[in-house]
Amino acid sequence: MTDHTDAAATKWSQILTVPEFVELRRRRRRVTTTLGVIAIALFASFLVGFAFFPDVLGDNSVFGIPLSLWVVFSQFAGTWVLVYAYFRLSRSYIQPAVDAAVAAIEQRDQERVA
Amino acid sequence: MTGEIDYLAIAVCAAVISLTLWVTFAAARRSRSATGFFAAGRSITGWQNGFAIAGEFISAGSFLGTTGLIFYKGVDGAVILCTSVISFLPVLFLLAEKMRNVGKYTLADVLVFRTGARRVRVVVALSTIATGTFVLLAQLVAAGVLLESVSGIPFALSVTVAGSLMGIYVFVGGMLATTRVQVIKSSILAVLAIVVGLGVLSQFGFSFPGVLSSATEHAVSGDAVLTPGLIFGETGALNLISYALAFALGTAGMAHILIRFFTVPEASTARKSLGWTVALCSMFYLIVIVMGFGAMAVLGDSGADRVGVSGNLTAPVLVTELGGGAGTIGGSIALALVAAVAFASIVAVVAGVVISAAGTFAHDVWPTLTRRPESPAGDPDMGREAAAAAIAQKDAKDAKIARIGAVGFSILAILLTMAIGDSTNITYFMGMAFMVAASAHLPSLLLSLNWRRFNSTGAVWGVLTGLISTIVSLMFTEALWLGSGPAPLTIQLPVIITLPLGLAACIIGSLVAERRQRTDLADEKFAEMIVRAETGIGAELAEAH
Repeated sequence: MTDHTDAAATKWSQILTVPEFVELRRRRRRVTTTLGVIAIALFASFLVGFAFFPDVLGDNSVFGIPLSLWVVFSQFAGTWVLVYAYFRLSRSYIQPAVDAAVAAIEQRDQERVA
Repeated sequence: MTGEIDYLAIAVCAAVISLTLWVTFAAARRSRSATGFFAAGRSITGWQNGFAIAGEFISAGSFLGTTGLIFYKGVDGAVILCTSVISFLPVLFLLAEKMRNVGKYTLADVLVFRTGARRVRVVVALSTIATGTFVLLAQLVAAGVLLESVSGIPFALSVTVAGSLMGIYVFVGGMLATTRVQVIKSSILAVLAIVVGLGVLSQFGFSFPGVLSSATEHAVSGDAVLTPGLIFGETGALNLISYALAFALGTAGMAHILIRFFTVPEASTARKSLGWTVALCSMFYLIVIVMGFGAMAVLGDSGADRVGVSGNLTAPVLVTELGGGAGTIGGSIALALVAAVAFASIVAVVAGVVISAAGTFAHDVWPTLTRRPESPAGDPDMGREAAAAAIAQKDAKDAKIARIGAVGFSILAILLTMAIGDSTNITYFMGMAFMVAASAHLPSLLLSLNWRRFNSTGAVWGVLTGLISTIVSLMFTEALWLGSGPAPLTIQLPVIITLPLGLAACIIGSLVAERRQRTDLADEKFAEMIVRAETGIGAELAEAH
């Protein structure tokens, strides 16, 4: 049991320092932070509008629809854009890093076995 | 809506029930193994899981309650809709893929990955079951009230039928049957919503501004329905912010939503499924907005008298009108379809909650009650194959206990619903569920997946603080205040207080116990979890069929 634990102890924490894995975490953090900040800004704009500018939103219209409803619709549209952006970045930016990290870890394991 | 028995509505409901029971029994064969029962063999495709999450998420309250809310309160009623759609963003960015890679059957599996602490399992199970109970009671009360008013089926019978069905779905077909029932519900709901939305718009030359113009002429509150403030104007900005946050963040802590990510074969499918969910929920919620304003416009000045004070009958009255009016064949068919969809909505939601609660009971609570060892593969002398067999045997036993738990949970829910009766404010039960999810589960989950110093003490403190502070703070709100004079809290859903408390308890608990609990092994488990969450190495595999 001790041997197994010791072996595992070296294995996982060492993987955290594999350059491909570090790059994967960096990319994912970059994507989620950027999109997360945009999502917070989107949500905050809705809250600020509804809480502090209700009359402006109710009294003004664009294409016959009041700004209040445009703000509501903007939350839907903003969500779609963010979901699309995340999907696209996941495919083109994060997934290659996942594949590279998995390949590097497998290669590392094979070398250890050899 | 006259209180008399509507046989057409009952017949359509019976047809929907027959369809769901057929798919349930068809799924039974594939639900015998533990993975089959708890996670549908991890074989659910992206669109199926997306539809199922939407089916789990869109309750009868969204369909009937929110339409009524917009009918009376205008644009303020749409706040819950747009925050609900946004609520999938934190799930997508922070949880979906990692949950799939790290978890197995329950929410607690993710939280105990690093520590294996049984007390964390028990505490998370407690709050998961509490959340599930709030949702179940809200849905079953809604089933009783709505079916009684729409089809004339008595409250007690409606509750018994809905409660029994959820037990049967889970007992017989497990997660696979539950998923299929939710997919059927979402599909029917989507079709009906599109038809109703087009029906409303067609009355005004497919012009939404035309709908709004007519709506303000007939609305109870006139032009004010287009200006924010009819709900949140009197209670202030803090109430709006807290209310919106409860729904925007609560989804990311809802156990019965999160365990759906264990049913797909890989992390990328979990991600894709959320795309389907966002698309379906967005479409449906946009149509609900059209229906709410459309009801003002179509029903005219007598609308308020016809939909009642609560507004829950707005959608049924609207579709009856669009079908040709009360007493006509078209109106009766339209009403029957709404009754069937409302019923399908309720049974799909409650089935999802029951399998989540039953799985939690069997997997997290029962082993503690029976003092069963945490891991049957813990014997160091046991070989890898023997260890896997022991785990499979334990999981199979858990599935059997979960089936029995589902039946017990269903009976308990039916009895509790009968006891609290039809005058209960169901909105608060749903609000409580979202608050517990946001305050107790979300901070623990996020810290567990990202913070190295997080430990079991932090998890226990955080979950308990989130759960208790939610219940206590709600007692000081207007809806539940029993003292004399006005309620101390003017906030409807005080998640703005309880979420920081839950988060602070997680952090303080972790720091207090850090010296005792932080070991090299704990750091190693954190590293293992990070690698698994990011790459899927070591994640649970899909079952071969």
